[in-house]
Amino acid sequence: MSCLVELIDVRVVRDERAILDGVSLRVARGEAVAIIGRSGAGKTTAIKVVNGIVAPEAGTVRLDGQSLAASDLVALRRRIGYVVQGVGLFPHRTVAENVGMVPRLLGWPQARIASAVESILDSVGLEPAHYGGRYPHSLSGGEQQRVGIARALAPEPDVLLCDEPFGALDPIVRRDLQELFVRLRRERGTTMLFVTHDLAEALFVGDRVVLIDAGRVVADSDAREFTSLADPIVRRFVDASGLGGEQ
Amino acid sequence: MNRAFALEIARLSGEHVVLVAVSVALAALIAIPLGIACTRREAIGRPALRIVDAIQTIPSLALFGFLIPLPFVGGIGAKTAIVALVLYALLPILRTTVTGIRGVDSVVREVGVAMGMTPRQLLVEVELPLAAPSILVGIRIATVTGIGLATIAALIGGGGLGTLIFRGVAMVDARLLLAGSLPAALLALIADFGISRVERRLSAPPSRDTRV
Ligand SMILES: Nc1ncnc2c1ncn2[C@@H]1O[C@H](COP(=O)(O)OP(=O)(O)OP(=O)(O)O)[C@@H](O)[C@H]1O
Ligand SMILES: [Mg+2]
Repeated sequence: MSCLVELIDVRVVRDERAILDGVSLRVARGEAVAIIGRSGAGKTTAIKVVNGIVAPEAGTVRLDGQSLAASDLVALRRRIGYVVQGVGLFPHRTVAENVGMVPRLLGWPQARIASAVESILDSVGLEPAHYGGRYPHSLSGGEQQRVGIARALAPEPDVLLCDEPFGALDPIVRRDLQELFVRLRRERGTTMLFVTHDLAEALFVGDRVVLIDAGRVVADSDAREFTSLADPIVRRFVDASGLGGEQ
Repeated sequence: MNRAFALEIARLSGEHVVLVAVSVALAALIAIPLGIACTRREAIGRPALRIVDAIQTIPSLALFGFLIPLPFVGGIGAKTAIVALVLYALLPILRTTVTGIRGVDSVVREVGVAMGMTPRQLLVEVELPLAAPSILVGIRIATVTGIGLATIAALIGGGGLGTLIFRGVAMVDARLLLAGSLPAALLALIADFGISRVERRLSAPPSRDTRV
């Protein structure tokens, strides 16, 4: 399998502090990698390095074998779906306009945009006729979050970056969307980087789990083996999640 | 009040509206792009804001006086008056453009960038629509204060309702003073009301709820 996303020895420095300190990460095409770690560990920063929102001070980022530093970021970003931590819907645009934004930037014909918007709203459990014309402020937190997910998925991106996409969702919708993600991977072969605090979710959605702590990758393992790793930071995570019972 | 006098008030009110409308429009054409540039580059932003701030501190009577001897922009007449009014209208529009654009939620801006908007698309699709209500506040302030300031234009032959006011002062005639200042006050109220309505229409739906 070819490597779609590659971070090699990436270093990001803010206020004279390395918030990513030599992070290397390879994601194969079609693979789903869950990134976990404590608050402030550098998960969001790692995600933002992939779409060039954060430019690293050192190290290399490659997408599809091409260095990000030498790429046309605008064109490249339109192939990368991004579910931002904090939703960030355009408040002056309706739900349908939010979701159809990237397809519009890509110059899709109107009819194709409309049908893509409709089908993806349906997939995230929002009745298109009821929600399409509404403005973000009139939605609940969980509905907004689902619109954010739909917006990232609508253009059928090659790579999907998700930063705690399910935080505001009730357990039922959350499970529905986790299953949607798994299904999307099967159907579209979407490559995913998925940040979450929830280890169970990481194991469910991810083929691989990467644990970042204080700007470093401390564990990078197959999801099936993660809970049996001996690393002390992993152990604390596993124990705190109550998933280490069989140990 | 005889018919001729009423017609004169109407004519001078018309001149007044033209003076203010032309100067606020010109000021917006300068201040909005300048404001956008200010948010793009600190090196433009700081000096531009400082200069426009400084202009505002010049007493209006003095500014009209300073402009008269200048070539091209100066002299006696409506043109000079408009130049002075433009200079005063710059500050509120520039300030509200800058604060409006800077006030756009950083997450929303980041999403725009992350979805592959060019800087131009980000400006047109995200920043300007979200800053529009703020920019309109600047235009409203510039218009309302401009209507008051424009009365001084008569001093340098710019016409407008100030003509009646200055005549009233010279002749110590309260009737003339009122004939100049009441229509000016009325124009200011109408402008304030009209532009506020547009502001409300343009403001993003979230604030539309809370402002009604
Ligand atoms: N622009 C910045 N300037 C200074 N420090 C920053 C900046 N961005 C991030 N940081 C710091 O870098 C660290 C990592 O931030 P990051 O957002 O990547 O954490 P995270 O793992 O996503 O945390 P959370 O789970 O709380 O979202 C934090 O300590 C944060 O304060
Ligand atoms: Mg984060």
